[in-house]
Amino acid sequence: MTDDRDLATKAVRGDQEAFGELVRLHQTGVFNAAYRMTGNRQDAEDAAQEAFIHAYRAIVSLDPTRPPGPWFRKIAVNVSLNRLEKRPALPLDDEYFSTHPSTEHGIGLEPESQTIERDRSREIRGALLTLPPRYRAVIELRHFQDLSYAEIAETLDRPVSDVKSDLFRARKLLAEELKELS
Amino acid sequence: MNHLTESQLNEYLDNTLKTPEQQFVEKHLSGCADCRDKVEILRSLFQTLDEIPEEALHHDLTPLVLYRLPEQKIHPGWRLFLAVQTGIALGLTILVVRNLLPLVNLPNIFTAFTLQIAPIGLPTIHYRLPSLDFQTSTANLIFLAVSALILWGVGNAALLRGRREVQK
Repeated sequence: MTDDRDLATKAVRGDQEAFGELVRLHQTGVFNAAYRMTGNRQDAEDAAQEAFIHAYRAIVSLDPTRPPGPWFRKIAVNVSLNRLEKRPALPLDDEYFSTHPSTEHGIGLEPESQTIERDRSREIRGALLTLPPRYRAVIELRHFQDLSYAEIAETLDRPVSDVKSDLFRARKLLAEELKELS
Repeated sequence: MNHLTESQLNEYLDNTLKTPEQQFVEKHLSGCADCRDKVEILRSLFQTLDEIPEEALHHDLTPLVLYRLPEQKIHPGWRLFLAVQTGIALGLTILVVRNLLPLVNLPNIFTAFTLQIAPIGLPTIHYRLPSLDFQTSTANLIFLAVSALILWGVGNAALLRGRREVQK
């Protein structure tokens, strides 16, 4: 099987087929980043597509020696944030609040446990979506993409001090929201 | 007793504090129940966020993305080839023009399409083809035309090969 980095090298050289393979490999991660940001499946799919198109246009800036997944997902967060800031968010999916049957997480558990887990997942996702989009972005980049403060600042093109302030504020709001729910 | 700031608490959990400050925070936490509670709330939040499962995509986005991609960039090698081809084509054009221009009787061309009005009767229009005195052998011109045609064909084939179909 062709390595991720081989594909990235080919894609940087303009190989559209290799880029397509990268999309196939990373679409779920990119979609999930957008989904946590938007809360709407259709919106997240559109944002994921847009992110890949942005990535293709900026493909020369991809470092083929590093895994391309995080790069795609950072673009997806930025695209989702821009979409949310430009226009009001679309209504949240009903489906968003349930775990899809094909989701790996939860397989093998008893139905009752799955129900509890699904409810918990729904609460957390719901709480996340009560945050303003820019707070959601820092939470996404720090907790789901595992970026440092400096990397988040670079991704969002904002000062590190702003990133820290937003992140700490977002965590506080999120903790309060979850406390109210429990 | 001064409690730890939000920044200290968060950075402590993010492991971004420098050693002296890390030690200061740890020392403070060992003697302050309020700050320990705050740390626990944050730690619990971190764990909670880890619980969110990944959602599955319902369909493959790849064909849609590939369909929307901008036109394929031409490989640098092809670009060089096309630049060379353009240069040769330009050179040939200059050669053709240089060879043909002296053979064309320009005054004849200008006068050929002028209106000549008869002194009596209805105006009549006389068209005359310009006289081109081709004295050079046509072999040179044929050679140039064929060269240009071959270049044009090869160039287009190269262009087509340099681009891939967006979708198979």
